[in-house]
Amino acid sequence: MGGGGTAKPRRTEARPLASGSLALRAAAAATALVVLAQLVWGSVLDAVLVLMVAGAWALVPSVLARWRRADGAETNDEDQDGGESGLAPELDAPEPWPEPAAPEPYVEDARAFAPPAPAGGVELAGVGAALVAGGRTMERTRADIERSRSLLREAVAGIFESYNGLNVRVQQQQQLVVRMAGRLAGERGNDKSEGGLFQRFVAETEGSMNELVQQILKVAKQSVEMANHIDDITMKVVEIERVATRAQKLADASSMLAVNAKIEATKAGRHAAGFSVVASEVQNLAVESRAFNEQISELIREVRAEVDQTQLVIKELASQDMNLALLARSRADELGHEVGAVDAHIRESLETVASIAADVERDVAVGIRHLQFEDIVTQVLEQSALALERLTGGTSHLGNVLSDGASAERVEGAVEGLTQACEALHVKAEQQNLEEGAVELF
Amino acid sequence: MRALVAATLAEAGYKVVQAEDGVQALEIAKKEPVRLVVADVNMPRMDGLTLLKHLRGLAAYKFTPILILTTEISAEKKAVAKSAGATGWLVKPFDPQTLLSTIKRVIK
Repeated sequence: MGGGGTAKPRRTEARPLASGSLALRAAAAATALVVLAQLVWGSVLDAVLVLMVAGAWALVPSVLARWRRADGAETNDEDQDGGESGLAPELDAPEPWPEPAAPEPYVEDARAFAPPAPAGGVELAGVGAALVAGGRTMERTRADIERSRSLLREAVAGIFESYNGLNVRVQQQQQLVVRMAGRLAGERGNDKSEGGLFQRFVAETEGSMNELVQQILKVAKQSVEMANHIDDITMKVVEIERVATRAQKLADASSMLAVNAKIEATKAGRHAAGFSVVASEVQNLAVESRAFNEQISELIREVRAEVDQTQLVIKELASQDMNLALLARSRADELGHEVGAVDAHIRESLETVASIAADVERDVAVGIRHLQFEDIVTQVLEQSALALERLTGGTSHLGNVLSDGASAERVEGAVEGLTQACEALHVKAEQQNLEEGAVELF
Repeated sequence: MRALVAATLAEAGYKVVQAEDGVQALEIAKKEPVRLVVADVNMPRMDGLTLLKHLRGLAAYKFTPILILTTEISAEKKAVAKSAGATGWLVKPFDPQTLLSTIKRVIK
């Protein structure tokens, strides 16, 4: 703190000591105030305390100036009016503190600024009133410290609650992501044999696709065999056509033979009438045979046309089946690669999430360490408040003793009590920063 | 501060019982045995070192790990805690991981 110098008293105009006991009292009071300032050095309330102490000391020149004006003019009306009662308004409203006349070099010996010879008990009473007023100010400052502690505690509790809630939500979110990604990537806790969703999907799809391809290949092969059978059937049909043609020729020959037989029967006359009937029947038979052959030929042509059409369809089907199978296999391979890439991405994301989780955990640790400033500052404020309380009590007591015009022994006793109370203060927190504290196991 | 410690321990899976001061801590400890005590030094009504002495006087807490977590850095207080049977002395601010690893070491 750079305000150390401000806590030190400034010398007023040097005057011969009129009273040795008064000078010692003032010096002792100065010592007590400086001790307190040193005790609270380094706390966050340095500024408040130092300014307050400086303000209390700033009153001293004013009081001394009154003493100087009162020196040799005990019956002066202005002094009588401006004695204790004249100082009271300033003490009741201590802000702003009266400024010292002019900065002067610091003097270690408090007796150097001792007051002039007291005129009766008026001057001592003025110092006492000033100390009492200073005590009131310190009491108000102590109340401010308590209020600050309360506000700090409430604020940090709220921040921690919010921070902790946020941390819990973030962790839940991370766990959810890790669990989800883990399932997709195949990390399902103890049971890793089943694999992840994508892995199982790929495996099952690949299996089904292979089975389908095998089936399609089998069908394609059967289609080719069927086409071959159709070829055989076509050849048989051609053979049947050839046979039917021969049957047609036989029918034609039979018809011709029947015509010739009928001619010969006519030449033979009446004795060949029976033969003529046979020739007519043979001719009828030949006509029917020709008609029958034509029907067979027509049916054979139709069958051949159907077979040819079937053969085309089967060949086309066999070709399409093969292409489909090859296409399906290719697509399955592509899908496998794509799923593999997604799987790798998920694993990579999982590692990133784990890394972020570790970062968050580190940040939380740092946050928790820094949130402990509240405890440290609270304890610093507590010891500052305690210091002020003791200083208030001691100063007020000293002020009352001086105001009452008590004996030197009582004054010295009050000063000694104030000094001891300040020196007995225990420092609870001396941390200079928020670096992690030491750990020692016994 | 107490909430920070409690949250750190609870998050690590410990069941935590909190007390506002040494008096309440002693009452709870007598009713409900605990496996570890983490106490501050500066507490209202009864400070941590007094609590430590009371707990060590109880048969159930003769060997229970008692960690003192404090802002105090004076060797004098630490020596008092050590002679009174404290298991460890941790100066604030603490790092959560350090606190947890220390607890794991002493709780076994």
